[in-house]
Amino acid sequence: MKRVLIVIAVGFLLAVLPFIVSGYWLGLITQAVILGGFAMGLDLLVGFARMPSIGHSTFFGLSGYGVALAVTRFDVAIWPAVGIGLLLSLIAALLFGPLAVRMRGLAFLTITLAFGQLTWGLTTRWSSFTNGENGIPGISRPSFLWDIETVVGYFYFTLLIAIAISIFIIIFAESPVGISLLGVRNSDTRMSALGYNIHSRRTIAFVVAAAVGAMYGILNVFYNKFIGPGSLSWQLSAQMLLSVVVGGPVSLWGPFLAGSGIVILKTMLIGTTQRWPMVLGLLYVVSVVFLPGGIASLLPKVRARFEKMFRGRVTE
Amino acid sequence: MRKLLVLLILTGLVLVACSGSAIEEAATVPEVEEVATEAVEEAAPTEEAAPTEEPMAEAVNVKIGVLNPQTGGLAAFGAEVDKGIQLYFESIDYAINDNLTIELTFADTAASPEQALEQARRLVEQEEVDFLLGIVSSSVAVPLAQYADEAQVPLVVTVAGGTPVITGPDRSPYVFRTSITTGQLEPILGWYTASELGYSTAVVLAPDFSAGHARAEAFTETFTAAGGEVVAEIFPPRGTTDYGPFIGQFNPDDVDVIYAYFFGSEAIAFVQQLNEFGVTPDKPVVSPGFLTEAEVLPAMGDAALGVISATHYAPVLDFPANADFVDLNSGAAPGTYLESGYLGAQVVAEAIAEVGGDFSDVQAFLDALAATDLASPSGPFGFDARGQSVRSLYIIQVVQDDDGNYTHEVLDVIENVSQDWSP
Repeated sequence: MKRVLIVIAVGFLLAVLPFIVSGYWLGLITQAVILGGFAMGLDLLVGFARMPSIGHSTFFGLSGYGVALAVTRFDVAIWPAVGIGLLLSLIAALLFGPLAVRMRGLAFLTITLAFGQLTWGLTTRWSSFTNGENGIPGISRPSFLWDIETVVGYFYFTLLIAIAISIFIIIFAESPVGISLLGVRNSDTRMSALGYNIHSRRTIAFVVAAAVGAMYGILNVFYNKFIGPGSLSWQLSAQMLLSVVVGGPVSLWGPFLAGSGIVILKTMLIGTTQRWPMVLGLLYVVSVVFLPGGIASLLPKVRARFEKMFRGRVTE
Repeated sequence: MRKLLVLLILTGLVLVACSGSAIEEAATVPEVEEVATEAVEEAAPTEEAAPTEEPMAEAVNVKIGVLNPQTGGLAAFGAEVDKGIQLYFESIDYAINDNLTIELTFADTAASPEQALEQARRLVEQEEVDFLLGIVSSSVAVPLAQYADEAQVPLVVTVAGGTPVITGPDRSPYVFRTSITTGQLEPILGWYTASELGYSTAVVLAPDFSAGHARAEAFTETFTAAGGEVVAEIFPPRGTTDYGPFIGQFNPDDVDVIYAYFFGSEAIAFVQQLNEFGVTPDKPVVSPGFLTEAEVLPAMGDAALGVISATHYAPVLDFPANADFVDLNSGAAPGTYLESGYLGAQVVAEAIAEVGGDFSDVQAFLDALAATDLASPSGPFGFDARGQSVRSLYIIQVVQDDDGNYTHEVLDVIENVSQDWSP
């Protein structure tokens, strides 16, 4: 409950951004919130259930393609198209999930990569339907309570949905199901002996993480007004996986911070140096070597330091 | 479990390293932005030197946002285009006249539409560039054309030719393309091969990706319409090094001519292996110019002799502007990507001069672009009513000159080729 309040407080803090930063920064932050939220959802799978997926962008991209194809190929109205997009991702998750959760560790990594490549291949090669590598442009944003065509309007729209999804993730993580995931992570044999169905727990984690990814995928397609195979690429999955590791698994806020931070950092770096992939790579190395627990592991340390200082003053 | 995480991180690093591996090639454009700003600074004193002539004229600085891939699979091509753009602006000292200077701001698209959009926004909204120039990848061209239209910023596309739609009937008035589309090369080559060269059966070979299929299809269409017959279509995957299994899929005795679209190292491997298998020189090869780019000819050697290509540019073209261009490139034979960058820069520079660097009225700049009439290194250049270039197409053949160097000979010229060309 405490964490839900924190999310709402952070949401309110972010809501003043349009009065402070330029339109360009607001657009960039919108993008950062989308990818940060996506990383937060992946934390349920990678952190809580410790199932390292490198094909999670499948659900992010599929929902986007669902919307784009429904609108451009079948003239479906935008809101129903959103439903179709979500449904498409959900069906894929229900197809891939039960198969993938039987694998552990590297095998799970490999099979998620395979599933990811399957959908990526489908979108790049089925040119007559998906436009192949050229992607699908010209997707307009739906009408909402307020005008979301503008940068500010879309920022608030994204923020509202991101807050809702984050609250859902926290409630899920604190529910008995979420906590049992930690048990499965720590010792699945013991959980099994206690009468928990391991496969169903892992499938639930897989599908919930996929659903979160799908929703952010929809925000992404409306943000760019374009969808291409890049949204389904394993490179995006890897970037998200790195966000979880760098941010600190199981903390939820760490992956969010890392996922959004990488977006902003990358865009800024490209503006300053041609060797931005090297700088980004070095940062990954440094953060993993010196912060093996991720950004989130800093918080207890900082807190301990403060408490020590405080206690020190009192005894003086 | 901890080990697994470490393993994951390592894979992550490898990914990052992979995406970065192409920077080596991009590094041939040294300290891009510094060059630009230095040149602007250099131009500044001349401004002060001639103040008496036009005392009222204010110094104007035009900022151009250059968007090309500097990392990823297309980095080598992006670097060439960037170099071509710089080559032109260096030749005019980054100044149209004493009061009108040019500043280039480069950004990396990595040939990814999402990244290109993000960088275009940064250039336009943060760096406040006056217009955008560049783009190699066709997949980037469409979303960027859409962005240019919404943001009302002119976009001049210098390479990406695989997407006719951006200069199609529904095109944005803000988008121009100086390069040719697929429709300005393959259909003409197909018709030329059947009607003018008189070959009636062909085998078609192209890499297995969207542009490969599109080009093969475009060639086949006009080739068959002109009475030819395609006996086999073969699509080796991208990055193939051994073309033996693919060359073995057709019987050379059954075909009059081989159509091949490959580029870069794949082109070298293909042309050499075609020769090793004894298919050439007995059977003629026709191709778009990418197969026999000037840079790859020495590596191909005798294997390339006799190959016929259709191209919008070749270093041997006999125009005064081309002689200047080759001189600027230190006398080395420029490739088509270098020429694309150079031409794009030349076209926009003319339009900037026309409006006196005033971008308060974007429409005036667009009108100036539309009215372009240029003697370019590749011959006469102009735009059609939809912002697509109208240029000559050259039919060239690989020959050996008296000094033993491999070069091209111009066989034929098809003038004023527009995107609506028909035989």
